[in-house]
Amino acid sequence: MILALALMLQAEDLSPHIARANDADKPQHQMQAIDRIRKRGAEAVEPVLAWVEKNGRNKMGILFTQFLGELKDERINAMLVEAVRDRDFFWRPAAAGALAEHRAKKNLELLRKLLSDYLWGVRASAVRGLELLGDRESMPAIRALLNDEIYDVRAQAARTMHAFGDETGLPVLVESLSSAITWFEIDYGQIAREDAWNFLKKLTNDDFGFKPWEPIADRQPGLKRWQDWIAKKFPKWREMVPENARCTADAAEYVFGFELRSCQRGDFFFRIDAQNNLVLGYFNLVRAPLTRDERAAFDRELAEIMKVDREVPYGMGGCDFEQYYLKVGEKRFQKLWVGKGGRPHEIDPFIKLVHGLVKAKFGEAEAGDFKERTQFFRGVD
Amino acid sequence: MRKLVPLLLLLAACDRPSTGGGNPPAPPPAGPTTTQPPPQTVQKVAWATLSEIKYEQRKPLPEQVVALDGKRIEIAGFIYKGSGNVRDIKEFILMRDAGTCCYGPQAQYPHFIMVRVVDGKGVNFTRDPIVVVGTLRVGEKWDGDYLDWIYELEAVEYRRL
Repeated sequence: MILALALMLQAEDLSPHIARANDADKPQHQMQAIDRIRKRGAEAVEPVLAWVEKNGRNKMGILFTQFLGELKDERINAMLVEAVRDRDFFWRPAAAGALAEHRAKKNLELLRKLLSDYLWGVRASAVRGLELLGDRESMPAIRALLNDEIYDVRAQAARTMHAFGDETGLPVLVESLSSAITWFEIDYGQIAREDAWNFLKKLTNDDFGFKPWEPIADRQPGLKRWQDWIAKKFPKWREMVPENARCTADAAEYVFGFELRSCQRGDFFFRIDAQNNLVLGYFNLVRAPLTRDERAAFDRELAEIMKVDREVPYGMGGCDFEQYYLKVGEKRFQKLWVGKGGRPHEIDPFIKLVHGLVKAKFGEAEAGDFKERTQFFRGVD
Repeated sequence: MRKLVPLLLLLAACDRPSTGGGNPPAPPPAGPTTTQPPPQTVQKVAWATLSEIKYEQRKPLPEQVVALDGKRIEIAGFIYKGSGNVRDIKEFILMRDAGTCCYGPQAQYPHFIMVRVVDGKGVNFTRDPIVVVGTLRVGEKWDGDYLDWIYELEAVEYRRL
């Protein structure tokens, strides 16, 4: 009876479960399906390869892509390498994470190269992959990432250094407990505070009474205790925190915001502050003043955006979007959401103007990123 | 049967026309003559009630959520929308947290509600929280041997928070 059941299970076609594992419209089924595929172990490799071959890698979901890290098979590894190298693959960070989990020596050079990838999720996964491979030779490159512009990469670098017995990255994590970056009404600093705190409290078996989600005044006593703790290890710990990892207060008032998020192409954030600066970034901010003429041109194009109906979203659903924060009152903003391929044509001149401003103020590379990333959202007729 | 007799007599007495002088009969009370159910009260529900439960598949759900089955509720949450259209959405998942996207964790079953708009125009996608009002259905819903959801809301009203 048991043998018959086992044979039945073996005979069961896995492809419907693989399809469920990647069904974007039924996310609640994805993990259940992955559990079923996982139970089949190495047997799942062939059907997975066949399904991806038939449907294309961009039909894979993010959870499924992550799961491929558990299927330690040479052909799956090769598929992940291709996915990571494909700029049009939706989930390159997840593929890099799965590749890291394979712990395959042959991925070493690729992972080293990915430390400078344009997507922060890929950089963070590459650090983790090198940690899992025990690649101490990459320590200088990993240490340099303590100064990455994105918190997640800095934090992974600090954790990996710690795993290699080097505690000199810990000041970066303690500094992150002070992160108080906000994007309009959203406290993004809390993400960094919670993540750093979760790692540090495991090291000490103590949270020092610090609660990352509490109001800033309530966090101060615990923060002081964490700073005292790191000062015992490194009396000059503040000097060990690289420039990009230093928390700086941002008291600016903003009058416009642009938020672009794309798992495939990367993020782009900019704002205009009340002092007429063009401000790039959201964790680490860089400012450049606009001339009167530049601001007037900006406002003219902004007026065109204000004519667009903001009650409705545009484009395709999903994780990739542009969002415009439009001031409509004292500290009150309305948001205009644009998904892939959905930007109303009236906004295109605004994007072109901003591309020129970014190029003039921050250089060709930033402007190139802006152009490539916003291209994704251009309206299709 | 014995208990019915006095009641029938009472009804018969009420129907009998007045035979003596005195005051004229009182006019019928104003208002609708048809019987309508009273409007359902809307119960504001916090996510803690729905999500902070011990949930195991194919086992009875706790009384605190079973008691809400069939009730008209109001709850705030975030729209999870996969691919596809973003306007006039008639079915969507309402999440407890905003973080469930690319890099967010897979939501647990008690942390989301399957919403079906049953009355009027569908919802337009927004990243901001919305408030949904409707009738809550509590219980496991299976699609073959895949669990679909444990909470479903037949939504009749929604608005931005």
